[in-house]
Amino acid sequence: MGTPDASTSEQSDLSTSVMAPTTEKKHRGLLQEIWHNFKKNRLSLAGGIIVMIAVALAVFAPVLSPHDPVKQFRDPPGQHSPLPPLSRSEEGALFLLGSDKFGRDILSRALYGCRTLLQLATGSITIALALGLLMGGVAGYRKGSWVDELIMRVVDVMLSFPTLVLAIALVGAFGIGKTDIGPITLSNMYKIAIVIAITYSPAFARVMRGVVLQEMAEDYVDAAKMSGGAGWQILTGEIFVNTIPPMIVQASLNMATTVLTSASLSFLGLGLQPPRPSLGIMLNEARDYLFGGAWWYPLVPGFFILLIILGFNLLGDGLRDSLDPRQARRTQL
Amino acid sequence: MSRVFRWESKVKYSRLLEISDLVTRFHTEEGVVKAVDGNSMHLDAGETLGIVGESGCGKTVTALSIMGLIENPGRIESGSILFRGDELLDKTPQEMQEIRGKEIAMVFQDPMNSLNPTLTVGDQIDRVLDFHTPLSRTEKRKRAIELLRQVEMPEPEKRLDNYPHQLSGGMRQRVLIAMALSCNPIVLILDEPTTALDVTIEAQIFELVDKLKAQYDMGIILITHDLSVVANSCDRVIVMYAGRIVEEAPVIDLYEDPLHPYTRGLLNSIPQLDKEEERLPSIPGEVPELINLPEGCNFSPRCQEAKERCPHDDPPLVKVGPGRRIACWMDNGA
Repeated sequence: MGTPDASTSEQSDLSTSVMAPTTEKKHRGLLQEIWHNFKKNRLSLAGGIIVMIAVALAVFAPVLSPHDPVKQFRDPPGQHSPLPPLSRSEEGALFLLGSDKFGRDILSRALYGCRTLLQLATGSITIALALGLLMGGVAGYRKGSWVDELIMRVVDVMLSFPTLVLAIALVGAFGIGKTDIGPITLSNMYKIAIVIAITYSPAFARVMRGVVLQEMAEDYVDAAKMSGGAGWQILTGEIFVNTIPPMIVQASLNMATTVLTSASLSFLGLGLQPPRPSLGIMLNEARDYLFGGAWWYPLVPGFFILLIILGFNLLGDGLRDSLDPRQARRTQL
Repeated sequence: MSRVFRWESKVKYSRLLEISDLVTRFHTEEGVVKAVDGNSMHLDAGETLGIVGESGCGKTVTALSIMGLIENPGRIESGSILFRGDELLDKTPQEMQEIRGKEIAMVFQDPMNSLNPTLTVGDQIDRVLDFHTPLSRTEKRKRAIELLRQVEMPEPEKRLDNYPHQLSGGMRQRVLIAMALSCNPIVLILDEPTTALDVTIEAQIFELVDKLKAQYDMGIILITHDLSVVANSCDRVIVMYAGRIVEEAPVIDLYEDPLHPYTRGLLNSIPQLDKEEERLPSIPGEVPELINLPEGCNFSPRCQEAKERCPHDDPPLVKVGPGRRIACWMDNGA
């Protein structure tokens, strides 16, 4: 063929791209691509909406709550707390979803409970993700070295404990009150977040290590070495961006179990402490009334926990499918 | 800045690479793989050296040895690689890291997978610049556009923000070449740069490489298994077989008068349009496993002209003419 000028080279370049699955015509950005895949799946869209509703309830809890969540109202004459939905206190306060055994508004407490639960879960997932990325990234990049061995054996040991048992043990070690570490005072909430993060970080570390190993086998890593990248530059600059999609999926799937663990700790009296509104504590208090006719008492916090977990599970599944179709097929096998 | 530096250095060293008696082996569980077995070669400024051979003959391992990227269980056992008079094998890993990409750059076989799928073209060029230069953001962007223009990428400003999956194979190879050129390398190693591409794109890429060679005044090592590629773009050719150099010749001499039986076999197996042939002749047999090489000449079991001594004595690589070396008993005056 003759000397190629710009136009002929583009033409022939286009002709080869016909074979490639993504043609130039669509020209969608990465995020649009993900959104396009995501919205095709109805269930995951529903999950996303549920999560958004839960987050909105949590964020706007102070506005949405009809009453102060810790205020104890007096029982009207002739009636005893817990009061059924739509009843009124002696002061005339309306309990939309009933009151608890101390005469507090269940709806307000549940909304604030969502708030603390989501704060706790998000905080601990973030810390767990950071710890996991660090441990798994280093272990994967230094595969076979003593660092890898050390990290992965610690991870193995931690994973061999049931999550809740490990969390209870850690709470036992750290206590449930405030702790002063030098100038920093860790409140109960921060401590629980850290405890949950520690119990979940091994799972992230293991996934991260696998992803890093997989990416290290790719040619672009060799290409980066050939252009003179240092080990840490390649890990942080080349490999790390490619681990984000699977790690997001992992985080959103783990979000559901983190919510459950936080609620369980509170239920056991090892998490947030009363009178702080917490869905776990509410369930614990409602235990005595399970068969006593006060059906609304356990139902409301239970429903909110269910909603949040369901939402995150659906969302996580959907994200997995849309971020990495290959991964989805692999996990189905 | 680097321009001046390079101009001075070029006056001093027209010989860019001088490899002598390089031995690279892989100590695997099955045995010792003699991937590169005592080879010597050199590369001068402004020339293109072709290294030809079947897969597994040690071409890529030679390139990786130069780059200092032989990984476990491989080891460079002996020999020397002089880069502008400097011994590369004595360099620390940090020093080699400085050289890689800046002084000696390499373009990889497969343009489909050699680009990071989650970074834009611009980001990837930026990263190579980050490895070796202190350029600012805007300077890097300017340089990236300049590079893409040099590799004749259409609409370089727009392509900068594209992801690799939005580019065709030819365009990706252009990006990889741009990345390799980003720090003005002195030696450019191209490892089968067009194997994954269409023939038309292949021609374009080689024309581009030729142009850039003159522009940057680099020495190029072109690794390929395709002799027709060599004919068009190389000045000098080294033919390798089972880890050893069997023939070295200026490109015209090699095509007009191939001396080694293996080279002749390779040339015969190129389809020719002006000859009507029922069947394309091929070299019988396969490349021997590098773990247990035959005694004597490595090629003797497949050689149709093998003599009595061939399976017993190893032929040395001897000079037979200006710029010509051959490892064969037959044309050796033996």
